Amino acid sequence: MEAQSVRDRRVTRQNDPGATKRSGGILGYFARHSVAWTRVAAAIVLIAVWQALPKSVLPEYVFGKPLDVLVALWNLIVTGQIFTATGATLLTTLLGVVIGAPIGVAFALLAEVPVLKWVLEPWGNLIYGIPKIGLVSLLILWVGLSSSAQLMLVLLSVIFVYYFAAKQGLAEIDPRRVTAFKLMGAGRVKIVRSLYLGSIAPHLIGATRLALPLGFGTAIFGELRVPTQGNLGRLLDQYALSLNGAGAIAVVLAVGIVAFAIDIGARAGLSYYGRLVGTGVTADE
Amino acid sequence: MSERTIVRAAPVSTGILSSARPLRAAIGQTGKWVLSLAVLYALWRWVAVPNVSSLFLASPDAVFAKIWQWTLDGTLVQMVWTTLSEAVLGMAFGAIAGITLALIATLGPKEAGGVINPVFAALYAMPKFALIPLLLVWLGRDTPSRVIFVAITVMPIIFLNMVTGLKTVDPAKVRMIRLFGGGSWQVATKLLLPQTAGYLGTALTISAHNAIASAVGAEILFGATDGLGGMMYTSAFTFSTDAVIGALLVATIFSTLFIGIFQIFSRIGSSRTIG
Repeated sequence: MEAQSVRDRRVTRQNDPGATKRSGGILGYFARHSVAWTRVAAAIVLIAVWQALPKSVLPEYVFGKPLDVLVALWNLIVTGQIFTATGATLLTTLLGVVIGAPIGVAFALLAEVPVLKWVLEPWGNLIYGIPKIGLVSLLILWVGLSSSAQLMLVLLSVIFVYYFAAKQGLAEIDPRRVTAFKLMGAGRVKIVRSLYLGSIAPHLIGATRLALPLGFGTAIFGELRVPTQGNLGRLLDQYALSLNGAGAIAVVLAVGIVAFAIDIGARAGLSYYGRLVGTGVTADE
Repeated sequence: MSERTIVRAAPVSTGILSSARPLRAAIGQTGKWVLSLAVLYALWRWVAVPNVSSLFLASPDAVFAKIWQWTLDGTLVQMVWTTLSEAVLGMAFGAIAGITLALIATLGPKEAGGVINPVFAALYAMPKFALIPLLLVWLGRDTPSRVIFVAITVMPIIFLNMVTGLKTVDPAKVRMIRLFGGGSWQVATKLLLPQTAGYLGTALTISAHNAIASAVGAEILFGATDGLGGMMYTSAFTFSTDAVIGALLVATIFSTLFIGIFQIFSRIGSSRTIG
């Protein structure tokens, strides 16, 4: 749709005698880069409104003022607080994904075993419906207010992403290939290693694309509910509850930047893998 | 999505000969569920509970007794009503905002899309729970903040799916409707909405899952005393494992039902899109 309208515009410009004259000069420059300049203008308007709105509408203890937020962000960077906090939260996320992925795949493989299949498949569907973050209350009772409760919460939410991705991969295996493997004398271990895992692998990349942002969000949730020192959730909570709006907004911005970086990184990794292997797995999956 | 519809349509068209097959499949499916729930109950009741302190794991009988007690004294209806109304209201606001902005971003001037699209890409990637402490100090812990929070989580999902759907609309068809004298309203109701119904259905199904989870999560983080999340939050303090597991169970059942409703809508929507 967009391509079409751009083409239309180009055609009209060619037919319009005044177009060449207008495309020169400062106005023409703005017209050609209108999207970029609208973005800049929107950002300026947003910051101006944020600065100008009275306290009764945008209370300072929640939103701070733009300049104070910048100062707070700078302080967080200079003291290195933001890096240690981000590191701690990212560590929880990565540990969750690294430990959760094999567990999810293992459950998916177990759900292929004839009798276990009847039991595990409905369990999978049942657990899919659980609001996973609600499990935090149970985890607090089990392991107390510790960072392991955060890690287990991330684990639990991530395992199911990998479980369903691996199941999808297994469902796509052509049964005739399994027969062919068996005919050529492959044992069960050989079939799992060469055929099943090979078929699961591309889906795992797609699952990681989902699991990383999910794990990061769940880690933040865990940190807000289970306060332990030195992570992003705790830092945010401290600022917000001490009514330091600028500090809280600075941390939220940092969280957003990290999340965006994770998103872009995961997407780039996925499309790189797609090009490498040519599996046709796309970033939009 | 089209594949699924075709597969579902197949047994109907083959007629009387295969009519026994869906029945047998349904029985098999029910049997599988009964078996797996029985195994779950048995493992929980006779393996886990005797070996774990009651402080950590309540027996299933205690959990069911708790849910029955809630049913009798009206707590159940109250809890479910609070959480579901937050989810539904949040979804409604989020969907209206998401659809409107998607229409503006795709059909409006390219500058509008240039501003709105990156904002939603960032909002989509953002862990929304990070906004809870701000909402707490700003608007308090009651229903309005929770509805706003659910709307914020749902909005980017609806927006991104709708933009994808609107991009599939053939511009030639829009021009044809305009050529025959149709206004913007007709373009929207005759072409855009039917064409994107499948995408909206998918978006709503994903959102339904997210809306319940965010409502429960918001209740937990706000430290609420009402709603399903509030029950989980307060019961964790009194070490009432039965209440925590009971609330989780109720939440699971209602979230599954809630998603199911939108799945049905989604199926109707996509079957209509394909024609």
